[in-house]
Amino acid sequence: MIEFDLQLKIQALLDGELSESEAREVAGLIAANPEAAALHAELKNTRRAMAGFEAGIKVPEAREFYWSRISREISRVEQTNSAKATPALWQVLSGWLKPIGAVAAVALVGVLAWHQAAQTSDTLVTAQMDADSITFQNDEDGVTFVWFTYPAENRVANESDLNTLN
Amino acid sequence: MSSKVQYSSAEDPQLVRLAQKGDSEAFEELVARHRDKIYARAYTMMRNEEEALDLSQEAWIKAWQRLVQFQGDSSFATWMTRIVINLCLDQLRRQKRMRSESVDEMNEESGGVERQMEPVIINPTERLERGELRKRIDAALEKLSHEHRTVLVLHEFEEMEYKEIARTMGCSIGTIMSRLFYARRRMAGLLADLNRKEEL
Repeated sequence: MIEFDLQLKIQALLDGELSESEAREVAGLIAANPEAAALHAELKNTRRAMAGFEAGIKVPEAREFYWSRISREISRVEQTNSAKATPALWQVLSGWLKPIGAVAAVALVGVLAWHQAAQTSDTLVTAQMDADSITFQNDEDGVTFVWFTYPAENRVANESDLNTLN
Repeated sequence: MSSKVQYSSAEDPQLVRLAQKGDSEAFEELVARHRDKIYARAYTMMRNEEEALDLSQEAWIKAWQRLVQFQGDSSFATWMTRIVINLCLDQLRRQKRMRSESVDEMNEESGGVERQMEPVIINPTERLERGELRKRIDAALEKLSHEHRTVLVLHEFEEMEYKEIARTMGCSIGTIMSRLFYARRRMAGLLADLNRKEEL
């Protein structure tokens, strides 16, 4: 029985995986050893027998039927991808409106406060900001501005009972 | 490209360029040309008609999605077969995780009887009609474990080198050589056995 290492080398020779010197050495061993020669012949025959095997395998479906499923799936995947890639208009706008609204509110408060301060030095002017609203109050004129961010994202806005605003 | 006749007479690279621009008719022509080869590769690896249909069609869908990545370094057919091979390997790995190690795999680890088997002196496939030979090979492939069959398929049909198979299957070149040897000897034994049964 020839060594397993030599068996693998005989196979590697057949597959063209040996260096030139190794190939010469193994070819010499095959020529001198009938068992090695028999193994080489067997591997070669098996390889030859398998050649072209796949050529006889055909899709068991008509061209149109086979394509229709691929085509349908491609359309479905593309629709899903385009839906993911294109956000709703409101999503796009809200991304811009929120920071712009906040900046505008701060600017308004600043302008009004500066205006009041310029007119009367003893007028009580207060401005207050929290997460969802900005309040400006002028006691002298009895004016109060409340700037809400929109859409309101606070607990009250999320209440299902509409009467909470009454 | 406006008529079907032009698509059918166009070369693969031209159809690929059209498909890359979103021409689905050009892609349909590519599918029509290569579908048998892609299906055959999936069938040889999976040994199941339904799975082979599913995986081959999945391969075409993936190809459409990744078509812009195809640079033409290899032929389109080669690129496609690599996609279907990868899908089959993923599927086989998933299946393997769900089942216990087979006797065949244990045999391979411990050496297997194929190492000690006497070489089949007579060519087991001579004098056989091509159709008959195909049937016998089909039956013999069925008896191999999926690891051995995969190595055989990648080497014999995909004509991959040892190191390429090792990279694809995530194992050493030594394991690939051993598996290929085992698979070939088992095939030879099974084909010879079929011959002997016929003679009795």
